[in-house]
Amino acid sequence: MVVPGKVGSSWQNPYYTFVKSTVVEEFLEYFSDIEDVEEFLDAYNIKNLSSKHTFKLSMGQARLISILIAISWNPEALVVDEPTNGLGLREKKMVEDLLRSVKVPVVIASHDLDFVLKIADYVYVMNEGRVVIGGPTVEVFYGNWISSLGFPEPYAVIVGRKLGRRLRYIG
Amino acid sequence: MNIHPVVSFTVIVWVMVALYINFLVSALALPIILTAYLIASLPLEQIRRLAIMYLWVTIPPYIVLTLIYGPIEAVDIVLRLFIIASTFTSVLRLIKPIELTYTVTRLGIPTLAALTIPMVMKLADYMSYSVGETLVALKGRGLRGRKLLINLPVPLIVHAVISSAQLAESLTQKQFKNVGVLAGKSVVRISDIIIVAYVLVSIAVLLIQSL
Repeated sequence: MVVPGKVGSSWQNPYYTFVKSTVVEEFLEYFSDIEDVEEFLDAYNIKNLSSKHTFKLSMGQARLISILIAISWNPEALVVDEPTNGLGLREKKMVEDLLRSVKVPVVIASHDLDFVLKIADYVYVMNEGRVVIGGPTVEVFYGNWISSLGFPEPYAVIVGRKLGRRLRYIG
Repeated sequence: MNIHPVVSFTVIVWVMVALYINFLVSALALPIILTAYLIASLPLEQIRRLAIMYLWVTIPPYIVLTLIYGPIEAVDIVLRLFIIASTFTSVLRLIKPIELTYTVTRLGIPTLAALTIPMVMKLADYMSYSVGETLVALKGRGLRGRKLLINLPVPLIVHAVISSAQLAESLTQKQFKNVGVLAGKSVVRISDIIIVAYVLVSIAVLLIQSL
């Protein structure tokens, strides 16, 4: 059971999360010293961003930092709104790896169906503010629910149907 | 109903000087005139909002200050608060942003910067729009209570300024290179003449008193 006040989040505009001028300063609130912060950033291969100005980060970098800040205070769950919005392919992969590494339950709100198919264990499809279908990702994607709502199916699903197999990942 | 950008600047400078030298009568009369001028051009709903805002600026501080300093001292402080709040509110509402852009470009400031200034003036509108989103985002990083409120203005202000700069940038990219000229020349109105005359008379009175 997740306590409501202990949910970390990263929203569509990641820059709203920032309150300090550099990336290191943002994390100092949660770590005892700069070395610990740099070690933490190094674990995610983004130590090079430590001295960068937070409001000058690219969208992808800002998204990564925003998610890392959201998990730094040890929340019991994480909510991420449109994690791939405005991201390049490399940044998308970094966000994907980061979300996979998080040890708490993660709820993602996304229109990026390829990304959802790749990363989610369970999917809940919402239409006009209501959940219309939910369940294990493969069941939902191969159950014709996506196309019946007028959304284009991910290529993995289209190819999977042609091959008669339930493919989840592209590449 | 608008006032000339240069006159607005004059008003702000004079009110601040009058407050500094304790010339309260003159400092108070000017924002009252401007508020009356502003109210004449506003619909009833906006007048109501303005009145509520001024009540918030004056009544709660008066109660708190009365408890700390006593009623007379509290009136003096609250009066100054009201003068500052009403001056800036009226001036910012009465300036025509496009005229300000023109005036600023005439002073040699680059078009991009000139466009940014009136947009930054819309700071309050933008901030009220994004305050909810920012609050949620900051709660998402574990900030609560006092810490949350202290940090709230940072992303709000930075975003307002960044958005204004981006909007200005996109406007200049859309062939608005000569926006200063296209913006339209600032017009000197009768109200501007009256305000400037009032400031000059106030200065004259001050000089005569000091002799």
